[in-house]
Amino acid sequence: MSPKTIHSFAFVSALLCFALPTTASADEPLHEGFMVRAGTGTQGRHRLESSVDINLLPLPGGGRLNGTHIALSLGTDNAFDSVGLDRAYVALLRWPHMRLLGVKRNLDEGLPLGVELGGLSMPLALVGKKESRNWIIAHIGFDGNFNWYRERFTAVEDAMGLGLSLHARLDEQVDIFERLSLRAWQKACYSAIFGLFGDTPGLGVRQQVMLHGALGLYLDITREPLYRLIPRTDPVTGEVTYRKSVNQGPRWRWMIVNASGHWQPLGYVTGRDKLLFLTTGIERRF
Amino acid sequence: MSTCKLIALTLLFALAAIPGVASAQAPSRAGNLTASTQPLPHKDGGPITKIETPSESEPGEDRWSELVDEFNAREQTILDTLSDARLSKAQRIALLDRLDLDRLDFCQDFETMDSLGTTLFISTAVPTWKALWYTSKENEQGNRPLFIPELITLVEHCNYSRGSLYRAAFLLEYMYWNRMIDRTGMEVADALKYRDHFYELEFLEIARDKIAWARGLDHSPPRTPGNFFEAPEMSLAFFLKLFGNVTTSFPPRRRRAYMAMIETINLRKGSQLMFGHDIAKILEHPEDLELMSRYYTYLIKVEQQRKLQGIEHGGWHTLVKMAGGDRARAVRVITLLASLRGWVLEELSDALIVKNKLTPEMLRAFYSGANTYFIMHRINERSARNGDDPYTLRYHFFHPPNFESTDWKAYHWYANAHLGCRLAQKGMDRRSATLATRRLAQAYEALTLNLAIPTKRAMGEEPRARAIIEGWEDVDMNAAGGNYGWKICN
Repeated sequence: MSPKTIHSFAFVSALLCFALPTTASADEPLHEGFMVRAGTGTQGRHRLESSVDINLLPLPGGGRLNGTHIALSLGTDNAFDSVGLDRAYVALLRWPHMRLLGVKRNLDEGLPLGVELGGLSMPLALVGKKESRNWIIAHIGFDGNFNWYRERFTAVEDAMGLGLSLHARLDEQVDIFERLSLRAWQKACYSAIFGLFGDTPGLGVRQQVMLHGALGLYLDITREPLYRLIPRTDPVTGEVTYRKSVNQGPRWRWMIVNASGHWQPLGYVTGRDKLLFLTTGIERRF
Repeated sequence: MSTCKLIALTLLFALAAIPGVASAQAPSRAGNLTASTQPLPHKDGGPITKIETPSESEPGEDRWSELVDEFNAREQTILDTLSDARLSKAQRIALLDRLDLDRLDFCQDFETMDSLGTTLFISTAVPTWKALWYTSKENEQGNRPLFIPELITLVEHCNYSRGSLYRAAFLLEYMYWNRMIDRTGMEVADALKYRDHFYELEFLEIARDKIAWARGLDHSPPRTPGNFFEAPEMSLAFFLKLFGNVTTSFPPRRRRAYMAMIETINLRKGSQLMFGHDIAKILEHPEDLELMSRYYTYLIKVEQQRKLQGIEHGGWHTLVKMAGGDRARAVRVITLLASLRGWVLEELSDALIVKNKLTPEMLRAFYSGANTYFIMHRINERSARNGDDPYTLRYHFFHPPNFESTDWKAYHWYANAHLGCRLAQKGMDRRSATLATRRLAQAYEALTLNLAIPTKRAMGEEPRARAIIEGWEDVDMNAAGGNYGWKICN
């Protein structure tokens, strides 16, 4: 490796470590579209959640890029006396491989405000064929953000710092019946947070391991068939046979039930180290 | 740092580099493109200007004239075919009334194009696609059988301008890439024929432009810079090397193989062509150029005779036989000359004309290569066998015995077989050579997946999971090609 290359690589790495630290907590980045759901969690909050992906960023020469993501979650307790924005996530770009510039709020993790600087990940298709709706896809990546933690929102202590996370994630989709599918994801995330913590003088470092996951049952209620038949003439016999292909457009689905949660087996940050959340809702997504 | 992260780093910087690459090409391409692609001046002599044979015969003129006659005849055949498939007069009038043609800008040439066509597609083709697709009448099966006739009408309306031909072809091509061209109500290979007619009309026009220029009948500037032979390395190569330096750094022989591969790919600034050194070299072998032309003639015959399509690995066997049993040569000719979207025809011809070295035989080979790339798709689709599950096809026709794939992209296999071969010739071991092709494929797929997301989304296709799955199938295809190429040249 030449000195020039080493220098370039070091520069690029330093730049990325500084500029590309993220969440990896956005759920279902492999599904794009609109969703609304409601449910309740073990922390005693009831929530109405919604997310949408829009085409926002202009392209040179015309047209717009898809992938701008907005997710909001309004929460309340049983007595409706503490209604508020429990979770929010707005990302300028949220693609499977890349996220760029986001703002987030997640009171389940003691985080009233965070800035997502960016994230990159590498997908690996473990199981799946182009024309099938059953697949397992893994992602390995890193992301970075700058977060403010507050004790009154279940954080262990007041803190602010730059977080660098490494994550591994699995996404699965399986058709149980033709229109009933099971969707799940699991993610393990290691974070190192560099910053100011509580009353401790000077800069400090904290570490955390967080496991996230979700499991949902989805019923396709779109009128258009799930598959179509593609004719082809056999070159030997001249017989016309048919292959199946997925009709891929955005589809309406009833999210019969979706269970999501997190568990913090190691480390710092949130006092709410276990959480389970059950929802039901509807979506129009790819 | 892990391989995965390095791929991601490369992706980010490659993404950043792409606009630079595209804009670097823009000044030379844009100006010339616009000048040479105005609606053509003919009124009643057929849609594309014919080149007249000069009155005084010069050396080589007969061969050029023969080629022009051949191209003119071919053009007429295609126009007749398109004419047979077009809408009725009343439907044409209704279509043109329905569409806001000024807004669609369908006839005009494009100004910039990145090598993946993404920017071009989003900005210049999607509006037309949406306007046509969503207003075209849907039948009971959910297909739109009028879509292709409507495209033909638009191209006719634009007087077969290059911009309209390219857009029409590219729309169908993008539908093919996204496995939705069957929604036109035709079998895949039949619909592809229209894509290929549009492209071929464009190639015919390009080829005749070159002839006019080579014969001194046209003094307009070339469409491409014409400096292919002297062009420096493309800046993107820096990131590919950076990527390889880390992902294949140990043991050192792996890095050597990867770097040798990048050197073989030889990306050049301002050019879409890969394998610059090898392309320059193949020009010294007229027998290779002749092989390309003969093979194209054979493929036309295959398409006309269904029994030939039924022969397992028939395209491969014939290619190797025509290449005198030399499999490396067979792979080399297809890789270097049957280039995506006629880049060889476009760019290499210009560079050769500048040097006063373009011959009719070269031009015929470049033209054959441009069309071979596309006809291979059609024959691949026609000859494929049904797979074991209800979804897949098994593509075998252009692959050697004992190899078949559910991935239709035979050109990936050929390009990597050529790379594997060249790495074997440079003394690299098989594992290192195959790994190098796999690593490059991963970087390429990571880059193209992201670039494909917005275009897939724009056409209502699933933009995420399927692109990842397809990308990994392509990686396997590339590595299989690299492995095979190494074996035949070791």
